[in-house]
Amino acid sequence: MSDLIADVIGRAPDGFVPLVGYREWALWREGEGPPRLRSLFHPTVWPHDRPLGAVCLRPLIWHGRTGPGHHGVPDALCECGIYAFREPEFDTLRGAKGPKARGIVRGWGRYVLGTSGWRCEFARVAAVLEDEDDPRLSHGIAERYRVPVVPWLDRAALAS
Amino acid sequence: MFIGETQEVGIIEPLVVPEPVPAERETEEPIQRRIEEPAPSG
Repeated sequence: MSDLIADVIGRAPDGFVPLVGYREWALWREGEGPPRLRSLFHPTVWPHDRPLGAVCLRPLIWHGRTGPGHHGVPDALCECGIYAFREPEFDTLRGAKGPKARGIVRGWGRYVLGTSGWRCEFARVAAVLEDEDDPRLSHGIAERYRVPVVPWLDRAALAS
Repeated sequence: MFIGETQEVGIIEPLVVPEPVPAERETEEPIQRRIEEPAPSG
């Protein structure tokens, strides 16, 4: 594992050990400057300066209530929470159209750990994976989120 | 995005308690910064 990857994954806020995951985002352009990272499936823009916290959308989308067994976010029997894959290589998702970016996130709080990914209550961007076709874009996003850029070649190290 | 078969459910502390989120907002919400009330003077 490279020093860069170890640094990205190892920097746990406040001394706890977070989940580490890999995500894909749509790019959200608002005004001048590099784009921000937006959820592929919901109009949620990830903040650049603080963690993201999840709420359950079930009452809003289905106009219903969470079941009596729904305990917090994420709930194991629901689909709520902030999602990430456990491995850096995954098929692109068919959420939002347009250009996308990938990166590393740290997650904590309540969590549901699956065989290929996890859902959690809080998350923060930890690094942006470099886009080989547009490295300037990757570096612009990373600068906005104040995180490092992980070169493409280091992806192999991420899985180790 | 699917996470596969559930293997484990738990909590990684410390928990950060967000401010109440308006109902029209989306599932992945930024945590609202707590604005401290100024201390009363005098």
